[in-house]
Amino acid sequence: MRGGSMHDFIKQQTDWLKTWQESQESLTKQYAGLSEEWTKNILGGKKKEPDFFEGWFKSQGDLEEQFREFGQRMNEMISNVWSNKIPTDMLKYMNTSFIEEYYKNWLSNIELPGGIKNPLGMDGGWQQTTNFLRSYLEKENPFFSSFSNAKITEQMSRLFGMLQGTLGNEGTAFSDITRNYQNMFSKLFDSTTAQSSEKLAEGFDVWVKEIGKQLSAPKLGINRELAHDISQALVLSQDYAKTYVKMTRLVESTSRKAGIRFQTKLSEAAINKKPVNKFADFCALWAAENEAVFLEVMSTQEFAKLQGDYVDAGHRLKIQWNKLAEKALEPTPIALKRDLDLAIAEIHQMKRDLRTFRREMQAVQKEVLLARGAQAAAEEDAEKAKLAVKTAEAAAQEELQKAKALVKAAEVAAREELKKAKEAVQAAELAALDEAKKAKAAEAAVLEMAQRVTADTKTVKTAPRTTTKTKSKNV
Amino acid sequence: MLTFPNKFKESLEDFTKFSENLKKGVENLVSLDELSAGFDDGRESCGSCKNCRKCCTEKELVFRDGKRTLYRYSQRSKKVCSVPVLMVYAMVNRYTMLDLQPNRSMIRNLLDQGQDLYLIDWGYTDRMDRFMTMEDYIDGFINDCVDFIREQHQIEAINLLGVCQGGTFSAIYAALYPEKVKNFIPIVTPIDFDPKDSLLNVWASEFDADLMVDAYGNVPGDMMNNAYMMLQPFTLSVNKYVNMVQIMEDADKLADFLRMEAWIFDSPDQPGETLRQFLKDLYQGNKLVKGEFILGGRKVNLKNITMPVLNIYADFDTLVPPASSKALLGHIGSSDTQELTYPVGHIGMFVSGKTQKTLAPKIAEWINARI
Repeated sequence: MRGGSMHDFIKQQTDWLKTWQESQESLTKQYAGLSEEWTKNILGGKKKEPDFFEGWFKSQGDLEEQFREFGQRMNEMISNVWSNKIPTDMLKYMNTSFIEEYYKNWLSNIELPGGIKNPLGMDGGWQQTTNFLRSYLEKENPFFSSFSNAKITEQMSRLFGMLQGTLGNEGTAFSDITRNYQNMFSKLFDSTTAQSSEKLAEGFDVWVKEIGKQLSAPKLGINRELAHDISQALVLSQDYAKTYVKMTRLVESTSRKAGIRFQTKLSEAAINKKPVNKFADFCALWAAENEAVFLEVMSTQEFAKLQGDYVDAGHRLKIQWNKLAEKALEPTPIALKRDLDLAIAEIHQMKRDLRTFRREMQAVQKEVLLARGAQAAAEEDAEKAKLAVKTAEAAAQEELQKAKALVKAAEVAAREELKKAKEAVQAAELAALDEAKKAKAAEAAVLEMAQRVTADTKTVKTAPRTTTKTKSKNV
Repeated sequence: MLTFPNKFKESLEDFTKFSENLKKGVENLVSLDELSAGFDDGRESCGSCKNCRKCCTEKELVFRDGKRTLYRYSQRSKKVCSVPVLMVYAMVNRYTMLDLQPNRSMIRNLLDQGQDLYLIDWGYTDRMDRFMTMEDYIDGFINDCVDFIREQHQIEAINLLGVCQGGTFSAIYAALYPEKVKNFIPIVTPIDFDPKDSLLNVWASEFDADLMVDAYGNVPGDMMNNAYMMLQPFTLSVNKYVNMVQIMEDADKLADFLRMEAWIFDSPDQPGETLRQFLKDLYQGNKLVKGEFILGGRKVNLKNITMPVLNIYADFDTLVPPASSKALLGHIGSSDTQELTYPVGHIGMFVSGKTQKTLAPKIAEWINARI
């Protein structure tokens, strides 16, 4: 790098970041100081009743505090997770307090009626802005002026104070948020006068409704979506606190009822001369009586509904905080939940597909095995058939040979017979010729005899002629 | 008649005894750790549980799919049933309840009765299981295990034993694959989620399961445990520990207590999509008994459960009310059914003295008569 090393570059960037952070801190302190001054005014014996706008700006300050804490927590978390994996200098670039900064800038730059800017005290102080707004709404917008009364802040201050007395200090994530409200309540509440839980809840409801309207108002500008998400988180945290208050009230009243019942049982035991004087018995009675009273309440559909509202409100808030946390982490090299979910969903689908394929493959393998078995059987049958054919062929050949031999023998015999026949014929012919010769000879002899006879007849007329003729024909 | 000084004296003695117990108990407590509350018998631990205390009965891993495993237990009897039993435990706690210690072990008792036991271990749900559905577990892993056993033993059907939520899973499986299940034994199994005598059923009807799963992904096991503790809030969070002081001086009893304590809070997170369907379709929609439950695109008809069924439930069950389990027999198609009940609670079914001697023999006898 020209003119310096990477180290110089990082140092330059770090210095710039430091300056920037200091200026942001200065702004925050300035605002916090104003809030403090305002709080002192309320608590410092002046007994000045804050009006709605004062309350509204104060609440913005507390919201900002929440964002600041959120950013700090995120930075700590990132640092814890990544500090031994990436260079320390790089960590300094990960500014996750942008949500806080964003919200402050959004408030500082919002255009207000009458051309007033920076209601957080940049231009002439918040008091001037507040006065102007009060005057503007009262004179020019009577509809909204109904919010500008002391009643809301009065209720708010009582509400905060009472919550201070009723909420515990459990170290859960949700009660962290609630604790912010507690702090706010404690600052605003200027007396320790106890009010009923009913009033507490009523007041809180009114406050949540009004502040919710402010927070839910449409947002402007390039970061309007982020502004909306941040405001939404606060609205949801108020909803959560509201249901928490209701649940607290119920637990409180049920505890009171259970306590009275326990005391009564203890007294009854004493009156009946069976005092509970063993620790385990005492605890058992305490647990049994409390449990009986609580389970009676907890088995109702009303309790289920309240618990459902409480749990749902907590879940809505958590979802929104998750969303903001992801926004804060987006510029970092940390994988986001949504990224992991996408990857996990993909892997899960692949595993399912794999299972399906495996099952299909197993089915196919079974079919293949069956087919192979059938094939082997068929091949065996074929072999047998071949062997049978071969055997049959051999037998046929043998038969053929035999037949041929027989034919040959027959031929020979036939020839022999023929020969014999021929010879017989020849012999017969010869015999016939011989016979013929003999016949001719006989004929000749007969003729000769006849001639002799004729001659004799001529000589001797005594021999009968008919007989001689007949004999001659027979020959 | 007790006078005030006498009562005071009695209280003082009680307090002294309590303090002595506590002192001795603390000494015992520090001498025990997680492992020594288990069984130091020289065996290697299988490592399947957090802070593995070793199960009391030996087993062998025979089939695995990711973190889900199938174990087969070593035989303890010379004569072994020819048709093995597949045990399906719930996902909300660990199966080690079935094998807590030698004198409290349903598994050991069944093995002694000559049963051939296989068991599904769902493992500990983590982020990778975020999208695992009931279909993945039932039509996937249970079916794979059943097929594995059928193939190993060259048999058409196995005996299926389901516990609590594992019983519900098993009932769904048996309805989908009746040809693969020879006998079905659900134990403390929720089937009809309507009965209002269970606080869980009442509470579950009024909250948004989608929000919960969307908020957490996998729902933390501790959140489920909180809900269970709320069923007896003072008994389980206060009285139990006061009573513990009274037995702490006895190291063996303390070890028993710690084993149970470790089991109670050894609760895996619940896979988001599975819990979503379980809550919406069963706890809120009660679709199984309505015949509307769909798994992997197939309607689950309980009438398909035509094999013999031995339905076992606990009279004093606060987690799964008896009515919820009892309903099963009214919705199935089997003509060979039997019920078995014990005057115990949900967990007492597996660890109480009342069941140790008789439950396993009765199950074995019932199975053997149908093999």
